[in-house]
Amino acid sequence: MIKKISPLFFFICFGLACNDKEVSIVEIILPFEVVEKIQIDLDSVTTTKNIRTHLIESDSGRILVTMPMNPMVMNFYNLETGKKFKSINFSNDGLNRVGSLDGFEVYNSDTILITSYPPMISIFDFEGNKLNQVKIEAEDQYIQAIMSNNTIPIIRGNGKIWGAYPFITRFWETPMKDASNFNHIYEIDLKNLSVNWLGLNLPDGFWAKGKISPRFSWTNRGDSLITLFDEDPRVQVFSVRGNRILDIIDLKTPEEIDFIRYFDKSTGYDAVRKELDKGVFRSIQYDRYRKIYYVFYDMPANPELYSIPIYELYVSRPNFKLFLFDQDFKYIGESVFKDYAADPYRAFVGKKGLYVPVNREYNENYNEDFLMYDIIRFEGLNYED
Amino acid sequence: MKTNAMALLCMILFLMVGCRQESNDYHLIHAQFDVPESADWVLVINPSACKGCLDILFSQIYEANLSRGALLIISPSSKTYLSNPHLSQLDIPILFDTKRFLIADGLFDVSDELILLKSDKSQKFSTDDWTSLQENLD
Repeated sequence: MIKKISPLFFFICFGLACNDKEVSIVEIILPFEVVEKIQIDLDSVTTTKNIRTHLIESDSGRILVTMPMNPMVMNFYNLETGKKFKSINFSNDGLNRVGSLDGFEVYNSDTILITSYPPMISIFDFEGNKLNQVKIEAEDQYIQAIMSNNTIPIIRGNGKIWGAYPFITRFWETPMKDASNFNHIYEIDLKNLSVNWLGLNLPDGFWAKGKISPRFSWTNRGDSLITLFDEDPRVQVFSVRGNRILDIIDLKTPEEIDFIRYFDKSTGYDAVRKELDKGVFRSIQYDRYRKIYYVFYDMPANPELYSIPIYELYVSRPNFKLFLFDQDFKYIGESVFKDYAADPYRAFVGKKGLYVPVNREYNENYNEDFLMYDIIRFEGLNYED
Repeated sequence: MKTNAMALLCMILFLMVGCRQESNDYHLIHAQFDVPESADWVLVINPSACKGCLDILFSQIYEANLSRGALLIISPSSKTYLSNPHLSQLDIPILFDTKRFLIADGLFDVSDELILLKSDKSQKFSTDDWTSLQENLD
């Protein structure tokens, strides 16, 4: 009897072992070509660092709308000519006052949404008149700041918008078991300006092995919102219509990416030094034309190799990888950008390809008088023209 | 006795070398960055502290009504600082080391925050120690 069962038992065990074994992913370096270079002249006060860039494409051309960190303004550039054709100035005083600018979204041809600190969304027309405003508050936690930048832009819907609050405000004070108790997406009905929080929570057990940042970037796939944690290689697929998480998927890359988890409060120089030994996901962008995802991953940085203040290095790292994933989050390949050659925070997708900012602070060719973008196309992807 | 004399001589040499080095930094910076002759001191700012700390420092500098020095900021982006509401109203010149020569050439350490250069000495300060810094300005 034992002799008859043994081979079967062996095969079952072997089968289980094979199922459990991780299939290794082979690194594929994806070649790309630059199909267009864009250079935009800046005036004497406008900085190259933008809080947000928003590309608007239509049959009549391409418009790039920017909000620089300085001054308080939104600029509209015609990308066919590289010239600015409109500006909207903002102020902390007067009838149309706003707080400290934190981003924007062009909602339609009449309306612009401005995010600012203290947490507020102001509705402006294109003449710079403030039409209305809504304060962003929540019942489960104090909302410290909201933003609409290239990593967590406000998402537009039919009469509604969605914004991300990828934080736990009292991070160190919050017990580990409570990590999943907070909602991280707010929905605003633009008809009555009501704010409703949707049920995107951190996955169960998010802090079971120690605390880690809840920050995420997100992108709109059309049928759902896709979030990617900064320090956890998982994406969440969230349905705003169903108000629920549809799926949580592990992003698998050739290299194993891990992050530091904390059981005790850790701040200051030593914490930053440790964090720099690890990478961080900066942004996820869905390319609806090619039906793929771009994931920007800042690589670890050794502060001893760079003559840049460590806190600056922490937020602005020299090298990043750009991973490409297909619709099902299967790894397609990657490219590496080194020595501040490009900016992983402010890239965006257009019909022609991926627009990558290439005039970045600390790059040896940096020039603060221009905005510069390369439109890049990866080998193996389908481009219409 | 002989050992003591040698030690004393070494200390004096050390001090002389140290003083000369600081003096060289001051003159080198004066020449390299076109600091006006009227400036008695140059405050080199390496923006390595937090943004909020720097904003506070700039408001303190503004409120101090300084007149006999110059600021030299180590940063590739001059526009960020020139549009600062406090710095833009200062009476003293603001100069920039946009290529960050001072750090690349090893004159200053990347972790230094503030260095006050005068013809006879240089002193380091942290961004949040305004009281000590102010005592040495103007």
